[in-house]
Amino acid sequence: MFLRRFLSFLSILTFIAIGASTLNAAEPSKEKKKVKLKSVDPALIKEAEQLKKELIQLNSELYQFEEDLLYPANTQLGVFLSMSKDSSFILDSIEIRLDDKLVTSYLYKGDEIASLKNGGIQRLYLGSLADGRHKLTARINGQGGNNQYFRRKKGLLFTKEHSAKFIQLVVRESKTNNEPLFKVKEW
Amino acid sequence: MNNFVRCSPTINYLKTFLFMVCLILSPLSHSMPKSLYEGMVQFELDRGNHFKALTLMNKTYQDANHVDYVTALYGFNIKSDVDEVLKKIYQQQKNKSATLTTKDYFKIGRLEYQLGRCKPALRAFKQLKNKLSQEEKQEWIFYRSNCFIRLGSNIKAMQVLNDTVDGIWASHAYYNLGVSYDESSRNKSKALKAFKLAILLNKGKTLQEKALKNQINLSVGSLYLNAEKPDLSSNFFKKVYLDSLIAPQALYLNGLAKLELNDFRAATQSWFSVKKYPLVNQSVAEALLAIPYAYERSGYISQALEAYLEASNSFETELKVISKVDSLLKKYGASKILLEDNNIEGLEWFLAKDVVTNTMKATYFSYFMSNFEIYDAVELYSELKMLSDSMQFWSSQLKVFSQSLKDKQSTFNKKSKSFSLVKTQKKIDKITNRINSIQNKNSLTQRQIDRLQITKMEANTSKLSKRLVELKGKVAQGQDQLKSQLKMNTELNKRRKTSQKQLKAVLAQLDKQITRLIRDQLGVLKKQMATNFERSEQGLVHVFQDIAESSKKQNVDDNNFVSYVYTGRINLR
Repeated sequence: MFLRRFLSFLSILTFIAIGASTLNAAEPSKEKKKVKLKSVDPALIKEAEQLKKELIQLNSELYQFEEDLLYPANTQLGVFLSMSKDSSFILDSIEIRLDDKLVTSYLYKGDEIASLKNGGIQRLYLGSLADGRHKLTARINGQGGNNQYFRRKKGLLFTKEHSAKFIQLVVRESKTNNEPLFKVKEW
Repeated sequence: MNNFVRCSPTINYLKTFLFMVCLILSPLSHSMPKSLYEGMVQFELDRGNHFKALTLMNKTYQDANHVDYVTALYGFNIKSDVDEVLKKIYQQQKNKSATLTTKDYFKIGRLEYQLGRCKPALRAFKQLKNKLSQEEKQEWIFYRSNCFIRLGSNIKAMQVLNDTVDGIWASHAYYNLGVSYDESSRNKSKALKAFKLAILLNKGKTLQEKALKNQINLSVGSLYLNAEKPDLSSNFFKKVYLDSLIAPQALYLNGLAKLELNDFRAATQSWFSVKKYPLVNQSVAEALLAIPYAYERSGYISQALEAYLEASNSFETELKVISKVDSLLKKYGASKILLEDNNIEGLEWFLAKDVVTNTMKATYFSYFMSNFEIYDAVELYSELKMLSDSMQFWSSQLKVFSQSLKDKQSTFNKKSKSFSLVKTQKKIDKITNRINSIQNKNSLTQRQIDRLQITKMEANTSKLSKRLVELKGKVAQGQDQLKSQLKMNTELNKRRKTSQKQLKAVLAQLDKQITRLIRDQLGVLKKQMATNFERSEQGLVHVFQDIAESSKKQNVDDNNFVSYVYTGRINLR
């Protein structure tokens, strides 16, 4: 009798949820299947969704307002990073120096690298800069397609005029030796 | 400041002049190149930061990129607008007014799949044949095969999987197919074949791969156990990692397999190792009840009695904990007890956080989150909490901006008051006159005029006159801009306050509903635990009855033994 009870429990345990939309294999559980709780009030969910939309709009306006106040267009400098799709190396970190002063650094996670390889562009730095000649230095660390770690430094002398300046660092891979190459694009 | 005072009045005027020019020339709207902007949105979208992506997307982007917009909306759980945007996309597709890229079709297919609509998902995926990279193809095959499983066609799912693929997506797809075969067919060989392929395709290196491998091993083991092949099943249960979430199930079932093989010692060993896991997991409870059963079958009656007592005590203790957690939830609400970091006096035993994951709070939290209704509600709560935190951040930022703008305005007023346009013009005129008078002196040779840079000075004064005329208009404009920025600051702050108030109210309501859901779930656990307790008590009675009956038959006076056991039980309690 006892064993039969065990086996009936076993048969429920073997029931595994199918059609999972994510890769996390869900734990099969007796309780999960049996318990059907009354869900959250749909009116409340609708209200929450409406509020979310309003707050996205408000956040967007607030970011724009902050940008306009702190980094006006005539002094604005933006530094961006992109990667070519076919590059096989993995970015570990990046450091950006402006006139030999560290202004930002970033450590990369897998999803961010995938996003960059997929055409995404990361805004690394946004700041204000006086007109005139300046020096931008980017130091990039990572692992190459040949499994070797690399460290590359790229310097750029540029002139900031009386308008916003955008600098895009493009990371590519050398077709001959699989080594990373850096191209700088000024906007 | 001292340097400034020591400067000549002309330099002071020029400094003020330049300050005002700088201030006025700051335009308040600017734009970055389109490709950079779109790349930024893509970056956030691809890495799953849907809130940031939505914040970056302006109306023009939303209208031009409906697919990105709907993906972000779904990602941030704003599902009410999803169907409407999808409808627009399909309408545009029908009218041929917009061209969809390979990426777009993929996103639509994935979205429809996630919404549980397999037919439109398959229609979108159909557009992608031979247009995908090897990596994308894996995901594509996973969704398509799963869609066919959902639509009830395992054969078509198998056909989809026949394309040569490998990796985690394929492993997951074969696993799902195996489960489907296991449920739908009496012949388990197809299910077994699918599971084995799933294992072969799984490298077991990443956390996801390991979790899936554990799940597959558990399923194969269970399948063999159901097919009355306990020896084979045990091999698979043993492969489940002890640190995985399903380890208690695997250990418990491994014990069952050993029991089937009449290896009571190995069965109890396996069940004993389940005891270290939290009792809220029903497998642990079953293992606690299985141990005395195995002892009883082996003829170790006193050990069986002790094991029943231990189980009974554990269930009783857990019932007390459940009641305590329930009363805490009732008093403080789910947000304070489970969702936020709190230090409530006297509740350290429950709220304590540690580097280990088996704390009391973590155990109950994991148990509650295994219910999808609770999980979704808590996800919504955390999203709203994140928005509330962002509003809190903007509250302090706007305060700083307001003060800074007021200071700027006051400096601007002071500077503009101290700066007289008429006086400056007079000074420029005076300088011009002096330059002219020098130039008109007949005694000066051309060489001397060049050395004194008279022509340059003339040009500079002329430029200054022109800029002064421009400045006149811009001074008024600058004041207006500062005023409008301050007004904007006030308006945004007002909206922030209103939104924050609304958020607070919604969060409070949601907290109440989550508390209700969790307490309902806790009620189920309490019932389960009470049943477990009753089963252990019945087990005890059953053992006593057996002892009494056998003693009666053998005509042995066992009264002393029974009283000894009862006394033992009282002492143990």
